[in-house]
Amino acid sequence: MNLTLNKLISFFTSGFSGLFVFTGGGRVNYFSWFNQLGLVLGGILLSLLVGIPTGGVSPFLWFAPLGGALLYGVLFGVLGVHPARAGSVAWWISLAGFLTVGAAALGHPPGGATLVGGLLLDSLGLPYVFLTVSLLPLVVLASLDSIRQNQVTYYFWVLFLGGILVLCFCVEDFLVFYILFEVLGFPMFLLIGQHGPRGQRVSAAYKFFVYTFGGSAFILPVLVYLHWGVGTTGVTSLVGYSFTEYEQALFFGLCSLPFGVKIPVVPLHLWLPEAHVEAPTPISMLLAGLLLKTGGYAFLRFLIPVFPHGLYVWGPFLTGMGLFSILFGSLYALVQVDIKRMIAYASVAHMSVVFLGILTATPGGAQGATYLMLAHGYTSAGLFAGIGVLYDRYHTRTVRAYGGLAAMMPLAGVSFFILTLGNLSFPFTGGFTGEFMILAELGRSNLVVCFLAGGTVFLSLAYSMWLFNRLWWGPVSEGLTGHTDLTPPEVGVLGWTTLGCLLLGWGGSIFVEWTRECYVQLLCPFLGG
Amino acid sequence: MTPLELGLLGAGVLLFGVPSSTVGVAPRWGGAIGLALGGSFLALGAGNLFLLQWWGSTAALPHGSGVIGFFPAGGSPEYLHHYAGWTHPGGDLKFVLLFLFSLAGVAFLRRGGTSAEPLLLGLLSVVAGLITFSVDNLILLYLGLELQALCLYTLVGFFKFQEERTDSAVRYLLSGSLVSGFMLLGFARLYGGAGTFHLSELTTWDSIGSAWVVGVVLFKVGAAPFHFWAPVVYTPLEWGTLALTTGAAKVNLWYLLVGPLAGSPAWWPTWWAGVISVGVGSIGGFFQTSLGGVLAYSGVINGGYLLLLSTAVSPGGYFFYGYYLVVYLVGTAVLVGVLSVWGDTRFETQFSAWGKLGVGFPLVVYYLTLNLGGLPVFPGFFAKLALLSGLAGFGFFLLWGVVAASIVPAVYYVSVGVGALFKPTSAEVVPPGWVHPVVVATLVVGLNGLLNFVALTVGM
Repeated sequence: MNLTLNKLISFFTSGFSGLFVFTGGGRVNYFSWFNQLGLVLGGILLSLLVGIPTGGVSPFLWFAPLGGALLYGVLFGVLGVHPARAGSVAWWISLAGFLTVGAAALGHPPGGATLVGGLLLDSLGLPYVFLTVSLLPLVVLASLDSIRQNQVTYYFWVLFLGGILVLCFCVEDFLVFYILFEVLGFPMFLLIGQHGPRGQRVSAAYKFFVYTFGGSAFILPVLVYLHWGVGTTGVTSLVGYSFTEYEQALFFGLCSLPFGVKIPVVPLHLWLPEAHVEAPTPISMLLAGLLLKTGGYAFLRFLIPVFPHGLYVWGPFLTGMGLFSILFGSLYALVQVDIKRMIAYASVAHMSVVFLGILTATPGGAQGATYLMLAHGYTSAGLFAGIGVLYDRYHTRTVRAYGGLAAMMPLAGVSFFILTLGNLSFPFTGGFTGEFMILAELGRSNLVVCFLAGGTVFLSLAYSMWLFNRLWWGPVSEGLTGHTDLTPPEVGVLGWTTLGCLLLGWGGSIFVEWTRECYVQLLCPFLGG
Repeated sequence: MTPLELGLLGAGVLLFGVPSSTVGVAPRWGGAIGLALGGSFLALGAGNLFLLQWWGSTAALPHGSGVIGFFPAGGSPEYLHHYAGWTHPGGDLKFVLLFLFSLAGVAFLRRGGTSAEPLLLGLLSVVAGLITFSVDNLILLYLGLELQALCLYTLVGFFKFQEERTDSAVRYLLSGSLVSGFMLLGFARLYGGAGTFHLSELTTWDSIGSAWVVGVVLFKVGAAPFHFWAPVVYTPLEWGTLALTTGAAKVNLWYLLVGPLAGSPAWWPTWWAGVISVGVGSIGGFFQTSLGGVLAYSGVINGGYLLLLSTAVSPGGYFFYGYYLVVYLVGTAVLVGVLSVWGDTRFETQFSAWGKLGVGFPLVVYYLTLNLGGLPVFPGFFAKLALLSGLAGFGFFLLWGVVAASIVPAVYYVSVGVGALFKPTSAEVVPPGWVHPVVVATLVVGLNGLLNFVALTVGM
């Protein structure tokens, strides 16, 4: 990528962010418009500065989101900034992270993997980094009106999670990844248990904890054994090591469990619907939009390249699990009466399609999996935000309590409609591109699997349109009058997730070109075989 | 004893033995916190550095060199068994520091009490423990252990008008006296077999005698299947005595296993006791309703890990053993210190009372329980890493079993944090001042965990 294109991307990123500020940032009314304009201009300048040195971005930049979270902790915990400013300061910090890290992620040259300071920067991890830093401001924005208690700790944990996630998608060492993967659970446990709106939040948090850490127990012995036998846990060294077939099968099988829990694949999914239902809306956005992606990413980054024979051994079984998971998740989504639980089961189904794409171990399937994860990140976050909008007004998530909302909230209705299209993988949305790539690769290998996996298209059409129909069309249900359409922060959240969903519907070819070389190198053992 | 040890012991006597009216309260508590901070930070920090260095280089390091010789424990059997006059040099700075740290913690927790007797009894038990570090003579070793046990019996039953504690003390005394007899029997058999009372001259170990002695040590550290006394004794204790009995009172016993008794042929009962302890501790703790019970079963499972480590032969030698011991004992002591804020509500498990103290306190409890559960990125995790590295010689499946068993305690440790963080309460709690174990906990455990992680990330 030449310098001019790099600058253009940086400029585009900062311009995007500027619009972001003007739509979403309107909520933070004690910052004047003049200051906001200054921030946009500063952001553009910063993005250009970050983007100019092609591929030469300082490794410390990727620590910036975590640094921002710690700075936030110092500001409120040590320097005593008034808690009333907790939300707005978190918003500016998350936005600054998006401007800088997001621009650097997009500006990274394609195909060129950079290993610096323990970080492996390439076209595999950086799209996830971009997803993280672009969703984080939206999560903060969605929290401004809905989180009223313990705001300082709440925003600190949200920013901290974002910082850890960025590193999670960059680190080269399997052990460090494992540590970060584990650390992600602690703030999430607190966020669900402390800020959940309902009484069952403690048991949901507990279930999340038990599943997350119970699953990860299978990785640690593998890591110790790797260190003992191979002498390193760095993935760049591990890919070149000749493991025995037995070792590969054993290690792949053990490590699949915790990452399968995180994706999640049925029957390891039980924590997810509970966590979604009990978590506050912004945390559901974070969970569905970002945390689930760590499981899929781990398969692509570590398991398949390091233990390819393990995939050969476990592949058929895992494919069966994936297929069952798709059908189970979709059918369960159809019978739900709680909107959030329905979207949670839809997430199970979509992430299972991702899982099948990963298991193809082809560049096309893996690219499709990543692309579907990106699309699902924006779509599910937007849908959860939409549910939050309704819950804030009507304090219920039961489907039958709603009806005819489009007459009163047209803007929200349009946004929810587009996100629903994204959820059912309608053409010109990101979901369609990702699913098409995955199904095409599955079809090349096995038509039966392709056909069964394709069932998700019909089932998701059924539950998505049924949900939209019940919520937004028909006569207005009793008790739903007297509420306004979206507030400025809600416009920001729903607007940008909708736009993300639409833009991804048109960006498939750019993504494929940008990441092709990386994925080919990543999966070369399979291409060779 | 070395002059340094004597000096430290003298400082401890001055610090804690002299009445407050003579030296004032402030210097005593200042010294206690200083010792707690300095000792544990040095012990943990040096251990961490060594662990990371080992992890980074993967080379099998020689035993007992440099840092490991001093902190936090370790050294080769040759080093430990080097005979110098009537003492074993194994009783060096590392254990003494840990001892004094624990004592400091106990003294600190006792700051609200008016009587000096418990403190003096605690000190006496530590002196008795120090004797067991240094002696080479079986009779002196027996007397040291007995003196220590007598102090602990008295401490447990110190509040004689509390029926629950009196009951605990009687059980403790009866079972402890019984096993003392077994120990004497074991020593007698060792003497009968070798014809000498000197450990360093024991060239042939009577197998039955060794098994008796090792069995008694297993009883005293609360390892399964001899763990039955621990929950009963720990549950009604107040914070200071709880910290002493779960921490300082066990340091010398753990040393016995890798020091004087390392040459014993009874390694297989130890190995089996380790395996059983890991299983019993991981399940038993789940059903506890008091912090004393949780800590008792925490002692059982962590004791199981240590017993397994004591029988393992790995390139890290006894370093892993000592490192795990320090992290576990320091972590427990710090958690007890933090939880001591409850004061009068000590006999009930009202973790939710923490919610009254503001957001930060429950978070510290959560953080410390995660540390004790061995979860990343806390020192407990690195200790678990050391544990697994030390046990790698036993094969992959034992590693897997140990890690799987460690998940259950992590869950019940976190239940303490859950109670503190998520549940409402009507209890009234007096917020502590700034100079509190919370500060110590945050500094010691937090900085160590953070430094470890940074070092690991940048590939130290």
